Amino acid sequence: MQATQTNDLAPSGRRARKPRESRNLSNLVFILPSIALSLTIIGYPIFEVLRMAVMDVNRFGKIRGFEGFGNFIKIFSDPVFIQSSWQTLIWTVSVVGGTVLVAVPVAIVLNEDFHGRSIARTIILLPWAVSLAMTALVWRFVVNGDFGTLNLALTQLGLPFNNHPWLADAQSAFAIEILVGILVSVPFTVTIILGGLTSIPVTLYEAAAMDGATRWQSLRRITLPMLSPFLQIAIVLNVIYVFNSFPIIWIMTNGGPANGTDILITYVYKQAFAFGKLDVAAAGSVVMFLMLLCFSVLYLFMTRNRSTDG
Amino acid sequence: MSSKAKFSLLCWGALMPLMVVILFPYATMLSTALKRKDEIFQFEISWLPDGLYLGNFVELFVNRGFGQAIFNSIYISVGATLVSLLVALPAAYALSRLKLPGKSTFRTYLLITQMISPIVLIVGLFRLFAYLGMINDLNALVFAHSAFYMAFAVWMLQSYFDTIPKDLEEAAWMDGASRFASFRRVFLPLCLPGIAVTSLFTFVNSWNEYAMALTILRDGSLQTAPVRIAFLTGTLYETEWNIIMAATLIATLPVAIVFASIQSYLIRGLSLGGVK
Amino acid sequence: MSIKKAGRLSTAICSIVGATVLMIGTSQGVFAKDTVRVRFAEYSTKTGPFFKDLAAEFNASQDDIEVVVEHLPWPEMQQQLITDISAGTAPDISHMATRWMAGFAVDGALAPIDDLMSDNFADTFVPTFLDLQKVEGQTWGLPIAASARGMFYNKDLLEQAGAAVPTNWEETQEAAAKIAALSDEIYGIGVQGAGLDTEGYWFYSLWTHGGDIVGPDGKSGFASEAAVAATQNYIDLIKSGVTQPGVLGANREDLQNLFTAGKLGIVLSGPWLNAQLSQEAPDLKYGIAEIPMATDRATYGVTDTISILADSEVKESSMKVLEFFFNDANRLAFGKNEGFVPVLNSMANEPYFTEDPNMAVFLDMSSVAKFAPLVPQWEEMAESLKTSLAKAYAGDEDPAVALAAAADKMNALMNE
Repeated sequence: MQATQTNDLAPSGRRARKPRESRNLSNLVFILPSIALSLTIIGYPIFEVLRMAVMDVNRFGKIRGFEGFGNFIKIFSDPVFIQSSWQTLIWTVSVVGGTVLVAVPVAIVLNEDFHGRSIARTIILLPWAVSLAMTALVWRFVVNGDFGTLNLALTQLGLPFNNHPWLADAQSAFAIEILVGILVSVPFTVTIILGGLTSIPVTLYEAAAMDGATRWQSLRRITLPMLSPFLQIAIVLNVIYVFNSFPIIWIMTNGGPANGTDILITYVYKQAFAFGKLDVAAAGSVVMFLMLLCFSVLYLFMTRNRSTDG
Repeated sequence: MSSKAKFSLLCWGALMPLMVVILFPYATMLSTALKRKDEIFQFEISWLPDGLYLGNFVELFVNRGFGQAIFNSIYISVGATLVSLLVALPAAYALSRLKLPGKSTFRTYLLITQMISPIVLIVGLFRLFAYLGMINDLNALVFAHSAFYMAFAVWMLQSYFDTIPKDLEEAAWMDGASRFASFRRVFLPLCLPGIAVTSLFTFVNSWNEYAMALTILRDGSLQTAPVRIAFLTGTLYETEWNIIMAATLIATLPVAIVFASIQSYLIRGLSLGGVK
Repeated sequence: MSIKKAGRLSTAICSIVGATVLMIGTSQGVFAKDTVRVRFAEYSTKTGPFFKDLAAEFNASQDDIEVVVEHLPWPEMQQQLITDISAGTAPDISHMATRWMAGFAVDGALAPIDDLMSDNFADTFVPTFLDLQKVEGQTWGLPIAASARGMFYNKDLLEQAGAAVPTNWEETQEAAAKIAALSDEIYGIGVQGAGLDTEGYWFYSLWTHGGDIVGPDGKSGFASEAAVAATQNYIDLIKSGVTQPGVLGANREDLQNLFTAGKLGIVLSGPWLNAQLSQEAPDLKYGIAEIPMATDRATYGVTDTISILADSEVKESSMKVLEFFFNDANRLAFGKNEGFVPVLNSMANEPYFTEDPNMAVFLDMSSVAKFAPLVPQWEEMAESLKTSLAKAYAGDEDPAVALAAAADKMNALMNE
């Protein structure tokens, strides 16, 4: 990303630009297939969502009339929507923050040369090998109070968790869900960072070592700055995926107890498929999209400034 | 003890807490998958099954068509990986190396395609594929998955391409190679680790995707592994944990194999850096 | 399906291509027999195979109709049906929960079957159950399954605790306390606080305390005096520590599993639990009695519905298929398979239902069964009730305050 920014910032000479314009346009051929593919598949469903958001729609998507902002007013006056928004914030920040805090050191260790490294790498990536829905199901069993293996193990270690019901109150249920969320996001993030680490030229470290830098100094001065574009990608994408992540919460607690673990995506799903309010759900989806958009614009703007400053 | 051995111990020690948390559910899966149904909910529970019972695995493949589901998943995941690479490679190359009007618009567009969860698009997606006559068509999933996961592929690849010094290609042009030849001979080998990681991402996401596969593939013989698992077990009154755990273990295998095999690319990437 | 449907859709958009496809589609339709797609939700792993076998038998018996059976797990049913109906790819006949039916009917997705049924067919049903399929004067489906609920008790635990089988809530409280005192690993009575049917568990208490979901004034009965007393009844059990730990995390299955493992003295559940117990805990000695009373005898009756969809082009053939599925022999086989209460008059005297003590109590209780109301927004009302119950069970809110919120929500939804 950084390299292209400098490309954008330094157009190669005003005079040369005109005659080469047509050539530049023909370069669009390179990106057209990707645009065509995603527009075909995602474009229409997005249009449907936008349309339903401003319409009065029955539970099968049949339009009954124009609603304007009515659906938006409905969701903003629903206390559960507001509650879910706050919980989404907690969920996203905790999961993404936790993931980055775990993934960066783990990736740095995995990038070192040690015995059994490829086994270690495979193990770290394992949570990613299972579909989220299945992970959530397995964890629901693991934390089951009476028959789950977590309490079994804790009791065997002599800890007082015999029959402890982990999912029975919203706080401990949410905490468990966040931990599972971190666990499944770590492999993806480690992979991105590991990819970034392998791209740092060894010569940089050699030069630093010759200048007498310690391992810690090279980590701070070389590794972390060189990683920053990869971290940016990891954070933006993780925020988007975690914000929209549905199966963990849906399968483990269904948003309960008392909506205490509902996030926006489970709220929207309930509106659409349990309550038959496709229009309200569509409005909720649009609001979710706008939230993510605001975040991304702000975040990219801030990190762009920082990286040009540095 | 050699210094590398000591260092290795240190590394494993540092990774240990995370590994315990990662492996714990696997231990649970293994323990439960080897139990008979009536061993799971007992007054006294234990890790070890009464005997080595493999009936759950047999049941999965013989009576519940899980082999077919694994095959469907592989078809879709490989297809989605190929299609998204096919469209993402040129796009990423253009973003990294070529002059292009509207570059930042395109980048924003890619980001936007990621911001809406497939779950909120389900109704629209289903209507679209129904219109195209592609309900119950594995290829529908290939295209749907590649459309959703392509953006990341472009992003990731571009990020890799940017780290490859331009002068290498320029040197190749000066040696008289055509732009395409230099792309193929110099550029492509250098970005193989990036391509590997990108493929891994697409493959795994497609392998694990649930909502779209559930909605578009209705016929039992076309279902993917995650959907099959949910279908096998989701009766109204009871969850068959022994079968779920066995199926989840098996669904993990192909992906674990891909992980293990793709690591060589990552390591080669490292040594290439050393060569430069 | 796909050729015909694709043909229909494309004609609307692009006449030339569409017309060709349509010709193929209809030319097939002329010579082929009626294909009836039927979708079932699975009660157990036996459901799908059972109906596939029935369909094969039906297909072999005549030449005009070809039945194709699809089966899905319950949790996916609602979403799949909604997407299918919205895209015009729904089956001709679909199974559903009766509580979704009202909404589906009001939004025009279902076909009324009063005129499709052959003479006397409607009379074969137990009237209570068929009446439940009526909304706004028309019948929208047939009761494919019906169940009542009863009180399962672990005989050994009651005996060890020296308690008799309780008949009212006071005795239940005492018996549960005695059982809970046996060991840290044993709980007196299960109270459900999470997942599917949480509200149903509360209805047992509501109705036996003389309450109602919809009060005599046509408004929500969630916050009536009886409702508050019913909630307090469960709160007392929870507070005195005689329930399983973590009521708010326990769904229906969790309670069943505890009972199966012999860790739970008493649980309120339906006939399907018999099947799990015979498979997984054949040695467990248990009995089934009526739901404990406060002021009234009552139980929760639940039916599921099978309907013909409004978009079906083969409604009459579909009805023939349904009449085959609902003939006496097939219904009896189905009832025995899944352990449901009879929906046909002819089954009521079958020894299977009257002589087996584990089934008889459900049959006895069907006469005092009460049902959830058939209103389009029921799912949303139930959800807000669940939220209020969770707050009351946890002690976060006074039951009267918590229930008032659910009642307000229900009243607002009834006016929508």
